[in-house]
Amino acid sequence: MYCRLMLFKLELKRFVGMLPLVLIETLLLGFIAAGVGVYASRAVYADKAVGEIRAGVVAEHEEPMTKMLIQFVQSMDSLKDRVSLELLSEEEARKKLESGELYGAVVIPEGMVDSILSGENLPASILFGSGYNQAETLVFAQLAQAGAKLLTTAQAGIYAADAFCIEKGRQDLKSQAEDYLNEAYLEYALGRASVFQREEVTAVKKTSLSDYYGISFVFAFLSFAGLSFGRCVQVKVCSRKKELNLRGIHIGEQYLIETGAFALIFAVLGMLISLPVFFLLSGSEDSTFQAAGTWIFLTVMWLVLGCFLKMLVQITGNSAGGIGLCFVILLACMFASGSFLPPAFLPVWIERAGNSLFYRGWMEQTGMFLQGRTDARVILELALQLMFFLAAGVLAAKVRKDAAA
Amino acid sequence: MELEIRNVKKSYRKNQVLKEISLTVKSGECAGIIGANGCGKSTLLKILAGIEKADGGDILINNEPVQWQSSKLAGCIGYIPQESILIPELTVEDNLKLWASFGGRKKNEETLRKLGEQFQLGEFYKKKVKYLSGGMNKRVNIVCALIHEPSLLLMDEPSTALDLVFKEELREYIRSFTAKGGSVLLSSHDEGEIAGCASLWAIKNGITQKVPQGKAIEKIVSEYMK
Repeated sequence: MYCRLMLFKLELKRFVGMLPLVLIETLLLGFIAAGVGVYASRAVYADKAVGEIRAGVVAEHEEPMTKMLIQFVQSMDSLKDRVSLELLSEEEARKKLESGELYGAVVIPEGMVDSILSGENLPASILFGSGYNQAETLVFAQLAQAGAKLLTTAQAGIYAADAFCIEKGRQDLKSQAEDYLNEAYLEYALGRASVFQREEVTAVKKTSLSDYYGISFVFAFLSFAGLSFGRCVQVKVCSRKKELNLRGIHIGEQYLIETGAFALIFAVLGMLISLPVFFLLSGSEDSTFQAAGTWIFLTVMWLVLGCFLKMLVQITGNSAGGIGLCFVILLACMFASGSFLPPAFLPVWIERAGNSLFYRGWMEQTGMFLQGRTDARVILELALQLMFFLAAGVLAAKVRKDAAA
Repeated sequence: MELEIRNVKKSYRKNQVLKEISLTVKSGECAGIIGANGCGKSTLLKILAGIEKADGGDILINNEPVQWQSSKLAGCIGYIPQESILIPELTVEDNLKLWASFGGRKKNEETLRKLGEQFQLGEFYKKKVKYLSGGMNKRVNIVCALIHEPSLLLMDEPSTALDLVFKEELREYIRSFTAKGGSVLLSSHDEGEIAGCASLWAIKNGITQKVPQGKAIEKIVSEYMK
């Protein structure tokens, strides 16, 4: 036991001794990463902010309203290239929303037109997809809200014209009158500016934008710091490791001892870097952060991140190529998880890939801790991740040992 | 301590490095293994040290069979590999502390003090290993192997990178070690070291041959090391 403690103590000492160099290297890597991030964002969003909004219209019963809605949206210059509407059943709509093929759907109830005319006003339901945080969905939500108000007004006018034609025995003019009024509404009465309400749409869920970027900065900085440490991590099964193995400290134990020391130093570094940043941010007006006891859980977060980085280096190796590969993997993880750009603005496939990467969850959980919230499920999730990274690292170390033999 | 190995075999994939290795190192004797580069000298020492696994063969200590890679074997062997076993970012003192932490701590610390004096490590104690010269690094490695006072020393080209003065000191240490009953098995290309061995074993085509005593060093070199 004493020799294991001694090894742990010496590993701690080794990592502490590396700190100054690690910080300098991290700053350099950070500059490179920031450059890559900005370039990638520009490459994705050079001239396109929001992709096509695919929405469904559910009208189980023949309603002139349905046709009008589609006509209405598709005749607007500002929307016709952005919005495509599809007529389908409610069941189909729900399926497509679940699979992410649609961002939203409008369900028009039976007798909606009559209800508007009678003043009863049956509400149309708006269904949203699971990816509610995607920009397209958010825009659709705003659009639907504004559209509903517009349609109520427009429809009343159009049906008034219909009633007038019928009363005067000129039913042949009904269709012509509808088209004319449609056009007139679009051209004069319905100023397009009113389609979009002056309401801020936030793409970063429950945090403010500055909070969001504060969290993502800390994650990026610490990830690159971990990578700098990685250079001095003992990945290969060298003579020393074999000797230690021979004297009873097995390869798996050696990995755990080294990772324990590394993660501890990393967690301390994480707290030293993150606390001032978050305190500073919590002082700003729009910040959602508030100093609370839950901030202590950040230590757990940095321990988990440390173990993740150590595992990554153990798998890729810490030769120049291995560290380079790690760097690329981290950049990809962070980009897809929204560290450089909130996920709502990412292309759908990248945004979806980011859902299955750890960084997005960690960033959201960090935001939660910083807002003074937590729940047992999150802590349990982090504990399980920690164990998973340790087990995967031990496995990778053993595979390397067997390969070396 | 007397060491005997019989019919040791070792292959790396399809390449059979050691086909039939048998040799004996008597108590209080310094034996040498010679052979051309890549003949399997280091592999044999690694197998004896327990770092590599033999594909077959037996090992006997004081005429009693023991298990390969057993703690009994590891406990009585001190192994000095060609490559360093030190942690470069730590000081000499820290590295020595690590290897002294195995087994009887107090006894090891006392041994460490004596070895430190003998191998003149005093002024380098606080120096980080990465700043040591090759020779100094080797000296610290030797001390690490000696801390737990082994009765059999396995040395893989021990004098590589050492200066002439320290080479002589190392030979002197080996002489005093064997005089106290310890056994040494070393691999070497150094003529002086080979000449100091009481018995020599040559490895050629994966098989050991005992070199007849009294053979001139030039003949040994031309016959077994080319």
